Amino acid sequence: MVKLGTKTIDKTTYVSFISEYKASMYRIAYGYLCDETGALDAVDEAVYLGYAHRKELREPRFLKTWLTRILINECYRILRRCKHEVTMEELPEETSPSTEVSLPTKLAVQSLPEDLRKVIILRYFGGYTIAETAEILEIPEGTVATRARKALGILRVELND
Amino acid sequence: MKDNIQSWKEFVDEASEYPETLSGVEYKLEKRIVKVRRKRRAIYSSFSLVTAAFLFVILVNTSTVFASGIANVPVIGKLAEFVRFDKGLSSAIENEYVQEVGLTSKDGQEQLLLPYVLADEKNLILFFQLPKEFKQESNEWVNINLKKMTNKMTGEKVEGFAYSTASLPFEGREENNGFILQRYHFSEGELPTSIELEVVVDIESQEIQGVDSPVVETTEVGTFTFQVDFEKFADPIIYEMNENYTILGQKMTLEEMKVYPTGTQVTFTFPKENTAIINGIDLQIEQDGKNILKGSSGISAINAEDDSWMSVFIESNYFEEPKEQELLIQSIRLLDEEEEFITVDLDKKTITPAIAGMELTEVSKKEGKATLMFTTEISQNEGFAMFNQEYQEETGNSFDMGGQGMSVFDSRMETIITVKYPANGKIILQRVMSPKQILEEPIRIKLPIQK
Repeated sequence: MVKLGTKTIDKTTYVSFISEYKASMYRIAYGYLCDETGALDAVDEAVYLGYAHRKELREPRFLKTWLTRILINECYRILRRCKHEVTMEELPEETSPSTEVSLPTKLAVQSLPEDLRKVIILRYFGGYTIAETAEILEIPEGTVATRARKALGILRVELND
Repeated sequence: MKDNIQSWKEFVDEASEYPETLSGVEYKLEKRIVKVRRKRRAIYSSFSLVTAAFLFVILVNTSTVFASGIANVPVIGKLAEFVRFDKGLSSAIENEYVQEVGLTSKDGQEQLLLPYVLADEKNLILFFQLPKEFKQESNEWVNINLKKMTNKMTGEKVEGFAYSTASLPFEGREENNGFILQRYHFSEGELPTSIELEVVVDIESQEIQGVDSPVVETTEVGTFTFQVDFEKFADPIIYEMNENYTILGQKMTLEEMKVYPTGTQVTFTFPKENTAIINGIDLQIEQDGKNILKGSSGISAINAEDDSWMSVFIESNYFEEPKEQELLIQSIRLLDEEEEFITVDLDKKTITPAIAGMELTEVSKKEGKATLMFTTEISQNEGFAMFNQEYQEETGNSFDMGGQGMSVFDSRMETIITVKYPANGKIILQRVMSPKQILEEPIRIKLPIQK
């Protein structure tokens, strides 16, 4: 694991951190965008923005949290740009057989209220613990658990958490 | 329910099917950093040596090889004479901070000397010297450009710096004792303690033919390599300031001032809520009501690509006895964020958005190219490079304009650029510098006395 000291993050440390963390970033971006190209764009942009603004990060130990927030913002920016908004009412009734995941699940995730979507993407795509998710979203841990349950409920998914 | 769970799990698994291109994230970051670094603007003031009329500022990077040895070392008096216009450098020489390296490098029959260097952790000043036998005609200028700088300890290419280099004309050769000065500033990282330098010397000759612009021909003289091991760098004197100011409606924080033997670096940061980009700050240091130090020659400022900070360089008072002094902000350059990019319609001769005090006064077309002349109102008759070298057509394609000429008279500056004639007659230019706005009353900042 890359050690982050108390001083400004230098380029080598930053790049090592990215190498370690990029897979997780990609999963989060994919969870938001459901698209390989879009997810890669979001990761690239977030990685660059994080580098360009790294001096603004007062506490290097919060790099992961900070970078995740940048990534989420980038995903929202891409989503806004694509105007890829679908409401629950518009969900298709049936799915066509495909090797890929059925469209409704992806659309259903995209259609979740933002606060719920953030929680489940960080928890299940990013692989963050309840405590880490709470830190990134700056909400209490209890709220994370409640929102995750609620989101899964809407998606009609029951998991042994 | 089972289908939903399965579908959900598949969706999560799908996110873990990483595309191959994910492995290139670090490479893409590297490429983008280099690209932005090249774009980063180094703002420079005129060179203080009267006869060295041209000064180029280069924002690093290139590639490779040669031999060096000990050679004739000119008397130090000549060097002091050479830098007499720069008080900070003169002072460093007087105080024997200059390092005598006495190097000579050869490429075939040609030689280049590097008798002295001045260095600290952030700055490097190289005093190259042309040997007496170096041939130069009356219409020729000699240029020295960096090809590569390598950290001798690690073998890695050194990057993250800007450097300024002067051109030496024939008529200035004797007066300057053949010296050509290069000033390097390491904005990212520090100067390694041991380097290998590879420079290319070329001769530029100008022939005036009739009423046309001069025909310039460049001939490469050779590539010269020097191994330089620096003496221990002197520690900078650091003034932590953290003082906030509002100038012409824009906020800035004076973070710190670092005094190095080779120059003083003053760093400002700018908050995001500013409506204008601050792209120049004119500083002076006063003592007992007298201006004792001014903007440093060569590189005078470097700013971040996102314009969130700027470091301004002034001459050094490193060797001065500590006394009560004031840092003065005399003028600043502001560029309204809405006016950073302008669309120029070559057919209609318009600029959008319209910029106060700036006009497109001439457009001429020739062989698929267009030459544009802009006239800008300025103060203090100071010329500056107004545009980013890179411009775009509306299609999004980028081009390099090669260079921009300027002439200054009567508080007006004429800027001439040549571009490829665009299909729809429009180009997008990025303004990187704006005229100085002189403050009615300079802002005075008391400097703490360092014992």
